[in-house]
Amino acid sequence: MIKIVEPDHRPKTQASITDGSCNCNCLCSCASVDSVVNKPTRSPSNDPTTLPTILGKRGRA
Amino acid sequence: MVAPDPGRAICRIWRQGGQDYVYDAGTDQVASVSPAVAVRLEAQVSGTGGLAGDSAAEQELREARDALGLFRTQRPRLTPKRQGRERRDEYLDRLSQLTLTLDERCNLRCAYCPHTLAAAWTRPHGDRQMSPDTVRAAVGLFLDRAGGETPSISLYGGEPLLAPGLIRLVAQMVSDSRRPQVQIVVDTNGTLLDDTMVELVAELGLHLQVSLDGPEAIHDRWRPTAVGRPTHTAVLAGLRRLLDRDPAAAGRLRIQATLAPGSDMLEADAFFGELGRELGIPDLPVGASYADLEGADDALLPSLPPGTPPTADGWERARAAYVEACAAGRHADLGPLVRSWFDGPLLRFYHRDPRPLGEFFQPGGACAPGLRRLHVGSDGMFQPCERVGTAFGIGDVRRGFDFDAIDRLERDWFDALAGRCADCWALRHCGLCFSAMIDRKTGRVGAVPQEACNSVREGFEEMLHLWVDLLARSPRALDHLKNSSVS
Repeated sequence: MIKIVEPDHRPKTQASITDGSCNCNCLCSCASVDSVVNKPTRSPSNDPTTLPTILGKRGRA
Repeated sequence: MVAPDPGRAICRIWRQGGQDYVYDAGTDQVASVSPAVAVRLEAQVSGTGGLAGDSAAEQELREARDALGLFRTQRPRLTPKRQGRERRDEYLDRLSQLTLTLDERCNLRCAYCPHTLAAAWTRPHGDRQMSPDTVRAAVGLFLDRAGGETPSISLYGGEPLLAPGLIRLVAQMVSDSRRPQVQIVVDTNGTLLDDTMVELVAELGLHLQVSLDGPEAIHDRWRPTAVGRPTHTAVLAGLRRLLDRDPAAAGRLRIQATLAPGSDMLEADAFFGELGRELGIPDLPVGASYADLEGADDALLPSLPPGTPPTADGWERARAAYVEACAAGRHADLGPLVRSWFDGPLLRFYHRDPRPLGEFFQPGGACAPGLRRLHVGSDGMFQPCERVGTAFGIGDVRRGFDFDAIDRLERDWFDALAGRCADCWALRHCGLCFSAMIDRKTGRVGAVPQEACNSVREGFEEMLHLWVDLLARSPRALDHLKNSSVS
């Protein structure tokens, strides 16, 4: 039986991988400002003074 | 024109927790499959034909194709990205982040810094400072045209706090432009936040991104001053000083941690959780990156204390803690570093494009040089970002964008990939940076090494395994992503 592995909630938005969210493996620890905002883990929500979320770069530890 | 069809799906098959899974690039879906189907697909992908006569598996595959659209065998035609000249009107209007290397000098010599000898192929530490005229030209250009909801100007170095006069100039220009939504973000090592600098940050409402790698022992191993002195104490003292003077700075502060070999992720995570509580910022934003120092000269790197566990052990423990917490509905209890690290790739996949792979595909990662982000070096040269150093000039503050240079870069990148992407199961999630085509020893542009592609696939596969692990543990393990959004 082939079954899709997916949560029962589908997102309403779709992400585009754009510059800055390229998840590259470069060495620098500088800003990699991203457009993805994970509201539940950020505070205060919708606060325009909050810095844009910066995603962790995926690396092979 | 019909797309090529080699008769095999673009997919990745693996076994995890006693169950076979497949990631299908055509639909961008993960599916659990029976062992017979896994064997059949594996044989098909590897080109060995498979077990002829396994009619049940064939039937399942046919049904999956018909009902779910899985396992299509046609390949997309690879096409280069649109030429910069064709997108001339989009440039600047879509620019939302300007990064300025205000000052190449730095008072630190972090062992993993791309500007030290460990990776001097980009740009070694220099002593140049951006001229006020160059600042005016770059910021003026940005303020005239910048778009996006939260346009930002990142001040980078070296250490930008070594150039407070230029920071003040940038802030004055933003203020005069009456574009209050433009954020000024200072990427700082945080060691220079004395009373004068704290006053500057408070007065100008600057956002700070402070590099801090975790507890003292970890941080000081990698981030000494130019004369080898520790910096952890100074960074923490500066943060406390800032928040004493300007409590509102808590909403403009984030930490960027770099995990280097020997750094334990859970230990660093616990540190940042405690730091957030101490500073009165329970949700202290912490971003993370990993310094992959493979190939760097060991003589230039700090030695690790005897008995330091392999970094992979720490990563596995952090991953296990993440899975455990998500499965138990306790994602919010995790520390900021672990959340940031593991949420990121999952978020991107969660919000992925639901459309099937089209007939055409533009390979080579996502970067459109200079389109959304632009770096201006201390000499006024335009580069796609601060990471590529002087290797890719795409204009300068005097002449503006050099669309011929952008087109050359895109062409070189497409040629360097040599058409290999059409057969790659990770093509839809490739974030390979075009700096991968630079030979780091000679600085010449050439083919993309296979290891670079392997690294992308390994990273994506890690995310797929995490995705499966989480949903196998609990169908609600990704509920913390429910209210997330992308813009």
